[in-house]
Amino acid sequence: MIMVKIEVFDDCLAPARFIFLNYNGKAPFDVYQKISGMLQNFFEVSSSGVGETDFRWDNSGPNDDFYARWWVQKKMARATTMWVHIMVQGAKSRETNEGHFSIRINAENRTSMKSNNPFFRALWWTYMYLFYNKRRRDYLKQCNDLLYELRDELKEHYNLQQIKGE
Amino acid sequence: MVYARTKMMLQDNCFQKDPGDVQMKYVGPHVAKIYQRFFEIIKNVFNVPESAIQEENYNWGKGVTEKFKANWLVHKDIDSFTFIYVKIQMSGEGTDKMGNASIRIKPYLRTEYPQDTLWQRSVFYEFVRTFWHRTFYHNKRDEVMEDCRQLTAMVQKKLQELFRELREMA
Repeated sequence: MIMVKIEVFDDCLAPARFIFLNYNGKAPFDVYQKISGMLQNFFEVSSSGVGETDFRWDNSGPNDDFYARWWVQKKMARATTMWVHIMVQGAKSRETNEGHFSIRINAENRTSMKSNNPFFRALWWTYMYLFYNKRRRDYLKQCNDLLYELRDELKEHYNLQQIKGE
Repeated sequence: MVYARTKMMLQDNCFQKDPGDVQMKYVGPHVAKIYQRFFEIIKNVFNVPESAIQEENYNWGKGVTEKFKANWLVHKDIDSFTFIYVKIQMSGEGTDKMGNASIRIKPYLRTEYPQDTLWQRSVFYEFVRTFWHRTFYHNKRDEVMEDCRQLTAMVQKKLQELFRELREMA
């Protein structure tokens, strides 16, 4: 039997869509190791909450080009899950180990409900309107803060200028 | 910012005449210091928490000269419908001894009316909303627009002070 599913996507970074971080300098490939090593602890998820979907390495030219993608799935509440998508693309010189990379980070909170009962669905919309929207808004803020913390940690790794909170 | 899936947005440039934005250029020492100090200026002048300043794009090149570029989006909530939205672009390059930086500030005033529910999309709601907007809210928006210009001018002034300070540090 097909179950009716209502799914609401909230962009964590709205009105912007992505966070971009571009770096030029020494050891750009370190970013790959840094990200793969930190995601699980940083987002406080189990190993099933992190996935590396794509890794490409091209050493056919004078530089080594790399590309990698990750996703992180973090349960915020019974109905809401945060999905983070990270993409890294860069190149490094084989001789000097200098190069560049770009990171793109975005995330969304997915709130879903499955039910074939129209009465229950109507009840759910009312619950959303009266109570849960406020919680969703809090989750959005948490998600937004986490993404900027992640970006700041990467900046710190490369000793880049960042904004220090008071 | 209004939390709604569908919304009607009214956007006005705080400086209505062209070019509608503020551009500042700096040539002198300690260019990289501008990044952090400018962020503090924005936070203090607009009186917003750090979470209200989104850094959308961040580029930093390390080498003999440091080269950087950043875009910020600032949201200052005025009430549940209106907020000041400022787009800031900053770029620079140089060493501690000499360099240059360029800053562009584009302030907007945004009002958003939610249109999610059937009631919010109804003709009657639209009639009441339009009446309320024209009778009461229009003047309030003018006042906020004035505040927006004042705040932008204040940022400009603080930046000039910062530039002077950096030049004297050499």
